[in-house]
Amino acid sequence: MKLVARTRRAVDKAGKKIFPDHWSFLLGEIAMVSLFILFATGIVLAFFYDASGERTTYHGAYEPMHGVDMSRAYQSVLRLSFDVPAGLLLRQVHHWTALVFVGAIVVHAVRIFFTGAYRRPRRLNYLIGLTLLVVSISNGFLGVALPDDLLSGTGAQIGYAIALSVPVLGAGIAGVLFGGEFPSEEMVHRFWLIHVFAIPMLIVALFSLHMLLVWRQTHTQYPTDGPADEVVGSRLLPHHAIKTAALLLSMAAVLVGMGALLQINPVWEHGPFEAAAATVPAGPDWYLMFVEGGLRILPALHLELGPVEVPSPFVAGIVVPALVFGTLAAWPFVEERLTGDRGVHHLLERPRDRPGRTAFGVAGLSFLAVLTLAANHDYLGGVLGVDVMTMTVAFRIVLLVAPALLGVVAWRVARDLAEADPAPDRQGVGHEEAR
Amino acid sequence: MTGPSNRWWWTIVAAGMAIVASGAAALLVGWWSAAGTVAAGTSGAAAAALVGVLRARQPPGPQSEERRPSGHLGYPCACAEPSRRRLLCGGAVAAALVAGAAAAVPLWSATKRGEARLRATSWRTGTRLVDDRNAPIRSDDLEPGAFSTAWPEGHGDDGNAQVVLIRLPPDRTVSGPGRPEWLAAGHVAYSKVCTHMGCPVGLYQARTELLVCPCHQATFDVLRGAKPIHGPAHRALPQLPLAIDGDGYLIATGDFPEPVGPGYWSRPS
Ligand code: FES
Repeated sequence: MKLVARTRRAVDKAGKKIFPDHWSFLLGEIAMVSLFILFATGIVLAFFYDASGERTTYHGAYEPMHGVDMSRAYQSVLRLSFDVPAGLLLRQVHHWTALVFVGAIVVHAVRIFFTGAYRRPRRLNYLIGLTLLVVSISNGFLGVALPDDLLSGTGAQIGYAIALSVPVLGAGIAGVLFGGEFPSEEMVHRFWLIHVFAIPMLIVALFSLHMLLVWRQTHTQYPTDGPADEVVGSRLLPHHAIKTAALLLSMAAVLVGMGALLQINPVWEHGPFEAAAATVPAGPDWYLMFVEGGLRILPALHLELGPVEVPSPFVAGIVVPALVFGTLAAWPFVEERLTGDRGVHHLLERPRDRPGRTAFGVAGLSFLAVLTLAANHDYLGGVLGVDVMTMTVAFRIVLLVAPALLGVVAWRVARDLAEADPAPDRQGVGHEEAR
Repeated sequence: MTGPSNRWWWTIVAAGMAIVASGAAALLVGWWSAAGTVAAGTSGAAAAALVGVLRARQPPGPQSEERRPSGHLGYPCACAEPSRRRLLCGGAVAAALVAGAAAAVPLWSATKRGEARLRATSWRTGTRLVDDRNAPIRSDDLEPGAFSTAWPEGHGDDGNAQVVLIRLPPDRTVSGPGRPEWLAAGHVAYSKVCTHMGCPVGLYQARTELLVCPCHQATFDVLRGAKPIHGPAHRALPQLPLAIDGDGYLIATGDFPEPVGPGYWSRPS
């Protein structure tokens, strides 16, 4: 009885937690709901997936592939797609949801960045979120490699070459991750364990920490929605819970609809992975296109410094991602240095009130956007009727010009907007600090 | 504000359920399954029940919650005190360093082992070249100007051992950095694993004597030791030393002289 009463009190107390009503606070929740759907579909997929690189001959329901030599992993994915009731549906829902998941994290992070939500006391939570993004992207890469079809094999090959290009430890990292030299029969088994066990555990741990900190530190909010010393919004129970339920239902509905109606990754069309098969030039999922784009258009730096060789994928495969995520991670600390503002902030800022930050963010986003587009430069060249070499050169120029140009434009637009409409000042602190 | 905002959410719930229903319908068209029908029906009913229950408890309007005094980090209070915090931070850094050092040792040895593995393939002196059906290749199987992919006999699964075998036109040979003495009856064999990122170098243009990688169009000159002449690769495709055995089959006279495939920092040149 006592326990019941105590639980009741705890639930009542937790139910009073306030969640801001602004729509942009749902972006993170979209990621959370996607994560739930990924777990639900992933568990069912795991029942049917055979994480083995062992060779076998296909005799399933898909006739064009009869008698073809393939790995047990690929065979099990074909079986999942053609023999298991609703197996294809679940696989497609899982894949679509993964794309939405990473997308939601990115858009959520964009909101956090442009409104300055990462400032004290939330710097640690910002870093946790960033780690979640990196970890999720890695898991997407591993998941795509699991079917062991020709397309995923090509992706894994690129991943292997990038892993090899890590300074000094490259051969070790690549060997441990890929189960020896590529292509290795061990690979799908290792990828599988990391994809369904190691990284999900990490995601759950980091996500729980992320939530715990949000809970303890309370939400930020826009100055138009409330003062600095209290959060204004709806209580967890019941209003916010309804929102989340609505989100869960409608997202499940949309994603199941997508899985049912929109084809994604038709592995049976690619055929099994074969080391000698000429590979079709095909891109990775959208969140890794910036790496692929870099591999395509960045000049392949090749240095030989005495006994040391700097492999050509190093710049696009290691330096660019490290630069992107390193800059993001360092940003809150750099900004503190630049502005001298080390105070605690619970109120968000409008992008227009911080032209410097806004310009930097826009420049960074356009840099990534250009690289992402460049991942399709042969296709774009075909559409425009321009040959691939010209496209490469054009993309190099755009990569340098676009971020600078758009950054300046963003700065001016922000400044003009802010002039026309000064910041609402709820904290009694001016916003005229240099930036 | 409460009213309209709530109605908005109810609309989403309703729309979501409509889409669930259409998704279920699509599912039934594509995948006949009695279990699927039952599951879709049950979840639809459950969703409706949930919405009904929640609807009965209309939520109140905007509320507020006080924040803890600004400056409070929300971490357990042990960390709030500067002196303790420094201690904790120091401890964390020290622990991370120890853990890092502990991880470095096995990783380092894995690196050494990995490098050793990267240096060798399954080619040995006397290994026959076989085609993709495991049939040994004779020195007169290929027409001059033709090419094929070959593996070491018994190691068709060693993807890093695969070579492009080309029979050059009669009066042709290779020049440096290619090794003309490694030709056998006009055949030259180069590693098929691209030195850029490891794609199979699958396109051979007999007229220009060029090998082209389909992935990023690295182009290698067959008559000059498969030196890259265009594109992102910077290293020649390693050449496999060839000979002909007593029965007229093509054999290797050893492994590649250097590691095949994409580069790594400690790769011997
Ligand atoms: S892998 Fe051959 S050109 Fe990139």
